[in-house]
Amino acid sequence: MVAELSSSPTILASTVADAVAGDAMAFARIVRMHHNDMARVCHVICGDADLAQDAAQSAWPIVWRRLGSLRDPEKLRPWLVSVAANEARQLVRRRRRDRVVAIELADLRSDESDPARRSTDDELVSAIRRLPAEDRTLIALRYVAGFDATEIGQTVGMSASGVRSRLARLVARLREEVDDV
Amino acid sequence: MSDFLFDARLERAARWIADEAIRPIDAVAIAEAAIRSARRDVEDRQATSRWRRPWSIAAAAIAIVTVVGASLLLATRPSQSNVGNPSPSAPLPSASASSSPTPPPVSEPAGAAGGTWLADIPSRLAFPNAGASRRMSLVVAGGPAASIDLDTGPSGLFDSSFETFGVGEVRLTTIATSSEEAVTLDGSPLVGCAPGDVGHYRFESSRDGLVLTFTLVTEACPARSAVIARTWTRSISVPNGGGVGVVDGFEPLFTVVLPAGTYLVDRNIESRTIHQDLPELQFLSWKDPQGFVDPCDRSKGRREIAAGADAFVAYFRQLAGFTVDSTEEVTVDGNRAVHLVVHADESASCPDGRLWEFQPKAETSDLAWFVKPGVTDSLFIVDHPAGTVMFEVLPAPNSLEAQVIGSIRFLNALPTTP
Repeated sequence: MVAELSSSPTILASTVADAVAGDAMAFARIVRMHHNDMARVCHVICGDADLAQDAAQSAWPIVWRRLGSLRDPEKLRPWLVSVAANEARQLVRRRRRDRVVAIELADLRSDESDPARRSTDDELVSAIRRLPAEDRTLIALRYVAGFDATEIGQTVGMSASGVRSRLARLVARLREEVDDV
Repeated sequence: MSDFLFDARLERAARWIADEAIRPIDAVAIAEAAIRSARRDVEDRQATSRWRRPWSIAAAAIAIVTVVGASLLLATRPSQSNVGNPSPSAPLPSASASSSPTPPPVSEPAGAAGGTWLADIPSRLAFPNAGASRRMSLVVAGGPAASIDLDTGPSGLFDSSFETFGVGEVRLTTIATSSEEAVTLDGSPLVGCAPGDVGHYRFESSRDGLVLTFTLVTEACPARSAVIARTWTRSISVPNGGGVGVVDGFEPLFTVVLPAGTYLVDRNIESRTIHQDLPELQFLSWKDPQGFVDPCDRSKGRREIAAGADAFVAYFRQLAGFTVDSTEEVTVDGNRAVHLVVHADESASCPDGRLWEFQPKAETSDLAWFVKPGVTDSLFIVDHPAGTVMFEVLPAPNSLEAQVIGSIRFLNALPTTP
């Protein structure tokens, strides 16, 4: 049984310290708290839920090895997300899964009730899915992880100003695609 | 629409996509797999640095001998080498992590006893809330620590530290207790554990690493000794590092040997997929596969397939969109089997691009297996007295296929305590 990881800074710091000291259960609490958050970001990058889970899982050995280098436990979440995002980018580059097992997902359409609005959202979802992986990475880090331009830049190896201008072009392109100009 | 409103829409759309990735997870299993993988990576890097010498030809020759030796060894026993073991890629540096990370301290490994071990719950032994549990697992994980899980009941029982010492000796010290540990032996309650209780056991691993036997030396907690002191069989149905292990997804149980690696496991009804990403290797197993009436539309229902390999081959021969490339009579652990190579036609066209193939008979959810046009399957369908059992090694074709399939051994039951 793994307890939920409290967001209290003291408990968070203590859990991270325990994990750094080799406490597997403390590490499992961190996994439980953050894994799906990491997988969500990875999914926007990979465009495939299974691959996203793979990316999130392959991030954890790196996290275990490098957790001791995390200077500020309150930065745990952005650090984890950036490790996972980079794993997702690597997986997208290296691998194309051609045979998978799938569960038909329940219809998780947005809760928009207005048909016209919903149709437009579907268009936007499709437009995001059609973007190249590197552009989806920016979208994932900005809109799912909630990173600012500096944090995105540190994750993908760009300057903050470069991230801002590329995101602006990307958003403009998406607006054009869904006729929202 | 204003920039602000479009930004909000974009965020909503991105989060909608992101939410598709959410799955129920086993955090402990993921953490344990990560810790094992990280340790192997550290060992790999240490080994690599030792071989970084100017005599590259000699080093290459030694490496070739090592690879060949490890391959031969794999055919007969679980390999402890790191051949084929992937190294996780390093992330780009981030502001919150220093640029020269130091690996966290690694706890003492539990040695040959590390991993997850299975045993049948003996009829004399009863747990209070075991439900329909038939098996129990001894989980010896990082920490190192050990605990007992029941297959359909409580988990984390007899939570103890696990300190090995001497040769094949271990000291278990109770960390936490639970009311679920109130076991009875032949109907009589046994004295339970208290925090700090120490038990001293000897353990011995079989030559192939498949079986581990604990023998009681001294124990302050009789309930724990009644559970622990027995013969256990290594499970490969949990995140693992390869080697030999039992797959307990369905009856019949079987053992298989996988190359050293970092494997995760998808546990579904009467199906197990043991897989690693880099290098990609998947070992899949199913029981009593059933087909679909229309591979493009599962809503038209399942097509019943009678028991036996021949009926399964006949199903694929008539299935629209598929071409049987070859069938070959083989044996798997002495049982008659058919090696079926079949592919989805390049020209096959289904609305969602997937051609649905099969699912286990006992699977009643939407979980099913499919291929995309042009993809080949290499399936081994075994006529076993307990049912039709099917295996596959992916990606196909795969040079490891014969080795992995050839290592399968069916078990009538888990080994019992001598």
